[in-house]
Amino acid sequence: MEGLRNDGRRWNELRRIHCQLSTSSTNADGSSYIEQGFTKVLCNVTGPAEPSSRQKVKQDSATVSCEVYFAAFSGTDRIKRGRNDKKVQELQTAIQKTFSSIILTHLFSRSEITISVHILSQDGGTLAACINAATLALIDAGIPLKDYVCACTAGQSTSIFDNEGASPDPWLDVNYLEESDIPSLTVATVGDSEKIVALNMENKVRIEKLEAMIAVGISGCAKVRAIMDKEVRRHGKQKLEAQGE
Amino acid sequence: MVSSSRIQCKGAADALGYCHPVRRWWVGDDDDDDDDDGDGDGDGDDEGKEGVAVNASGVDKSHACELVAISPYPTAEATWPSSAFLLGSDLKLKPKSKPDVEPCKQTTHFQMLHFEGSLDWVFLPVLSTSASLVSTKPLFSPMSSLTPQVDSGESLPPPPPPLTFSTSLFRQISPALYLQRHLLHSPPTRPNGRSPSQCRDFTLTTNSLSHAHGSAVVRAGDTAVVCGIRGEVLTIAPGDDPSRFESYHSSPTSATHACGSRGAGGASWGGLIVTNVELSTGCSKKYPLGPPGGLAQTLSDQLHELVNVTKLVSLDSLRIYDREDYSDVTPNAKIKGYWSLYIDVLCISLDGNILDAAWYAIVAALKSSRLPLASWNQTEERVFCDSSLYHPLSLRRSLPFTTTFALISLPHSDDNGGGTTVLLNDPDSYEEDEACEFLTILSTTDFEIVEGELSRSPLAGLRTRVEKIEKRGGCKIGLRQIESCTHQATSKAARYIQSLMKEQLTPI
Amino acid sequence: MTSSPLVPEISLNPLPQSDGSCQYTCPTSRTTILTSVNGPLEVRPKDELPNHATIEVIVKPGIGVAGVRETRLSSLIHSTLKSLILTNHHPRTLIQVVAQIVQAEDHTSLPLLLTPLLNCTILSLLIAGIPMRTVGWSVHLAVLQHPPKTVKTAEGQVFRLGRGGEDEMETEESEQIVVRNPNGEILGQAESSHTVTFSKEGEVLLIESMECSQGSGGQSADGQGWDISDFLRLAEEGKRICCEEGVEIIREALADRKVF
Repeated sequence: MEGLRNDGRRWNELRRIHCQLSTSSTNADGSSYIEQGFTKVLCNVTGPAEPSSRQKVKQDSATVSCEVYFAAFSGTDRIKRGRNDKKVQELQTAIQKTFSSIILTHLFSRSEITISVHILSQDGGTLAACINAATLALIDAGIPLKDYVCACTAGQSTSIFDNEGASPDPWLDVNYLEESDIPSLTVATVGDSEKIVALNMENKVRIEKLEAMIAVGISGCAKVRAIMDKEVRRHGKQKLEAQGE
Repeated sequence: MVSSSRIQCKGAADALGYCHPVRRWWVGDDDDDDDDDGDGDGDGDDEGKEGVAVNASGVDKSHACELVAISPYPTAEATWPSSAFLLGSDLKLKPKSKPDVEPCKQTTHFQMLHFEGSLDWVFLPVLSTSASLVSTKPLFSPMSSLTPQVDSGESLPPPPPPLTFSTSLFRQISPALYLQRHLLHSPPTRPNGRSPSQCRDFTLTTNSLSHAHGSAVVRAGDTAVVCGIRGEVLTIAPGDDPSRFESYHSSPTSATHACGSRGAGGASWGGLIVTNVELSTGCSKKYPLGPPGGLAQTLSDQLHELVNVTKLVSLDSLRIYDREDYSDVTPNAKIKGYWSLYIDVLCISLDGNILDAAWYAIVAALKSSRLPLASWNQTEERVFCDSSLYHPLSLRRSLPFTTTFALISLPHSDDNGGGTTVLLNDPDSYEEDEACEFLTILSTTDFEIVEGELSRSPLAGLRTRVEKIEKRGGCKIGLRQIESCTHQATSKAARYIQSLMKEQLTPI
Repeated sequence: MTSSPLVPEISLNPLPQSDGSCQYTCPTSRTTILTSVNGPLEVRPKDELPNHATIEVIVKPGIGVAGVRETRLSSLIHSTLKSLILTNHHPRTLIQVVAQIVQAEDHTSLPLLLTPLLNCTILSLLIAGIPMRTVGWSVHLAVLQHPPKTVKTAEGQVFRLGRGGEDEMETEESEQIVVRNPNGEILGQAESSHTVTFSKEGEVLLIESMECSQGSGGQSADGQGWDISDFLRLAEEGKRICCEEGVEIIREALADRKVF
């Protein structure tokens, strides 16, 4: 159908986002669960705590470490990824670097904050979902952050209009089928400002199209922030009401 | 070791705000005027450096109690016991350098002896077997109630209000004692409020994962487990004998057979169903991320054994035939391959009794699995799956479930007239840490669904069949107790089946 | 007694360098285990317990490298030993038990390995002089529907256990056929396999019972399982074997040694 993508969305529509905080309150300091479409990610945050190894001790700030775990049944093929798998390590480094700059680490020197992410189902936008889940879990753990880190994906569809110069709009929040088909990037911003804290693209795209993709991604991040903020406030209110009883 | 009385401590949380390293003494073995270390005080311990003297002259010799002292650094003016608080022990204290200060006799509460300046010491008995239950209301009063005494040289200070601990503090300092006190109460209750034979409520959600052929999420209390099942096609080579795959307990043929199957993930039985458990997912602070530890490996093996003992899946239903039309089952149809099931169990949150939750998740996930129809395509010489036609797995009709118990042994006390044991159904992680004896029963009961409710099938003669019993650790459980546990297992199985019914995965 | 087919072949202290060792061969299942016990030893600080000795059990397989099955065997043996060894006699030390499976008909079968492992470990603990509260013994029983076919069994290895019930008559059908310490072939024909470990006083130390009938599963496996009262009767018989014959075997084995 004209103007609609294969799952019925328009070019600037996000998938359904459902998020929850404090899913595992007994075992982790902060936890969250996020569903973006069919991508399901769980995140647990522990810390600030004593670093697990001497090497991780930094005298003036906290160390942020990240562990990513892909469930074997998360993708279309059953793949058991070990700790040295390339994709696992890439995601770990990306999340760790993102949050090292956002968490106010100077408040907790010689400590370690551990973010562990579990990917239960992958349907496109895995890195974005991991970053969003980590933000929510850090908020739940009460770790001071500069602002929300919201991530979103954007893809550039290649269609027949390209040759005539009038390119179609980039697609916001691509799912797995679209990700395998068209070039896409993941962008993470600080709150709803236009400051980018992470940008990741693994495909080839013409340079003229790049700016449009990033712009669409940033506007998507602002929408994601609104949804996450709403849930955080709702959860906080519920918690305060429960305590007040 | 038996010591006295109740623990009552008010304001100790504040007191312990000054918390410093902890030291322990054994008291009660030495005589009144024993001066083994020659430092002038009457106890046998060498504490001269610390300036602390604890003399147990008043203690009944059969009652040795363990004292935990916090902050072994007394104030400079060592008016012993200089800011010491004693809790709940029958002790006479003799101060180190001031023999004229009357020793303080403690009965069931402690007395504030002398309070000067900042609070430095708190003593509390850690082991106590008194039958009285510690109050479950938190008793807390602010520091201001402990008014400082200016000078207590001449007369005894007036008896101060007793110090009491909050229960959460007691639970952290002495978890075993906390649990025992609860169970000695009548009727015995557990700290989480359940009765010993009561198991946790659980919730089940199936088919929530899009890429897995079957999935289930089980939450029992704070233990949460996700199970995903994926089927992969296993094509057998022309020379292979398919019967190797079709039996759950194939008899061992040779060492090479055992070796080969060990290499392929250790699946020596059948080999078509592979189970895997992941515990290092940050589900609990006890299992940090990294390679699987002892518990994860043991659990993997136990679940694999359970799948093979119960023979849940009908292995002939996993065959992939060489034919075009599925409705025509000729006996000569050649078997070209099998569906191989990978069962992955992921623990999201761990609060004890992961085996029951994981097994239930596996059963529910198998029940909800739908595999696409697969057939051998002769032209392409490959197995093709028809993604529009799905069929459920062919499983057993009577489903077996596990129930796990932990055994806590209560110490000898006069009230009980001897050590007794309490069996706790569905232990959580706090109870699991305190217990060292565990019993797991895998049982099946035939239930009939009559008007939407479960009732025992009259044909089975109300019998519960047991398929596996595992008891490890300890030596206190008796054979008769195992029989009563089987009855509890039956009622738990009924709840499992009702939950499956609600998810519309009726066993019948 | 030593020539009886039911008595295992025990060789004490074959390893002179360790504190206690034992080689045990089950006469009927031909499983051979070699265990070595060392202790009390110095313990790593992270494993140190303030009031108890740490017990470490390592099981090494006959073929290949140790996997999840060996970890499970170790944890079962560890939990049994924890209730036998007096750990508060040597706090802050390590008692290390290493068990090597020398020969087994089926290296992957847990029931065939568990009984010899436990018995061999208990004997080597006694040789090493580790203070123990009591001794224990383990026996493996397999329940069959029919007497074992085409397999030679030793005298006294097979016996019948009445199911009992309301009627007093014990007919052929109402009896269970139980085989002691079966080998792999008999186990392949068995309906269920039970490993029970009892202490000398009759306390239950370990039970590992499971259904092991052949079949391809699914609906054909619907009627499997045993009744709890049958199991209790079987366990009582196992208790008798462990407490009487097992303890006797230990006594005989240690009788010749005057100095350990």
